[in-house]
Amino acid sequence: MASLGKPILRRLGDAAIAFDPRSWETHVLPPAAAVVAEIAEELSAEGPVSAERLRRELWAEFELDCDTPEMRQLLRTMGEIGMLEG
Amino acid sequence: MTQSKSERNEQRRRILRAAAGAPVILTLPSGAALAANSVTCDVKSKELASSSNPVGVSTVAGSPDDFMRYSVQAFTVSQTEGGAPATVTGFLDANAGTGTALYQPSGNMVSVNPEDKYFYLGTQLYRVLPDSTAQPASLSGDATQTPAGLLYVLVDYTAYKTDPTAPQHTYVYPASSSTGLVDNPIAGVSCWNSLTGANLTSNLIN
Repeated sequence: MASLGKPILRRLGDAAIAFDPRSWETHVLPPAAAVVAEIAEELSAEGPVSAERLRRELWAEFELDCDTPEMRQLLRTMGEIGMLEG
Repeated sequence: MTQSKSERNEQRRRILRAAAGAPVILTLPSGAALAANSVTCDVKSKELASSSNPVGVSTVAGSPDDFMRYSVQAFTVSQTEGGAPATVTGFLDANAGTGTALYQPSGNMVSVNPEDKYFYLGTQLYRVLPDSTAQPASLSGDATQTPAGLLYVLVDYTAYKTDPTAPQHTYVYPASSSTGLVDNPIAGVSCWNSLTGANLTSNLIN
């Protein structure tokens, strides 16, 4: 069971939605963002996931450059809605 | 079919490459924001009560729900009917004042049951029926009044605001409980319907 404060992630095909129980906001994640969120969720099984931890994983596993404005914005948003620590 | 980790990661790579470096998160409007704009009817009633108390009723000092229920002076009435004394309980109309006769000799005989409750709104006397509805009534004979604590009535603030000079019975609902307590003290018919529709039968007068 998800703890209060952490968004609840549900896949919808390749996309996903994340419900934030703190704000009651629902976020729509298109496929690419859904993949990143899903990876973050998988990593969270080992403990809290920081943006830096996710950056390293995305680069190591997918060679995805997280230093683009779009990726920085995505990670910032994920942090704001509670999907990443700190 | 269960994907292996490598298959899943390959699928993820394709999705990430197809996104051309523009993954975004879109936020839908919050339901909480919509709810905040729709002030609940009990809050509206409280606002109305704080600025405009209906004539003839007063708030219960210190009561957390005085915006929804109002106290009226209760009293018992003794009268002689057919030589046998009987006691009924009713609401004293604040406009009538203590000592004013509750009912007038009219010649319309009503069987007096000590368990019955009567209340008086405006110039009309009502008798509470077993199903918590009420009907206009008149009693005959001489009567004496004995104060017996407070009873509570509900106020339909929507109706009262529409016409504050209208007769009390158009916006005041007496409590239906045999103890005088209000189980669902939400003012207003629409408000009551939306919150306690299943208990609407205890809403006596509309």
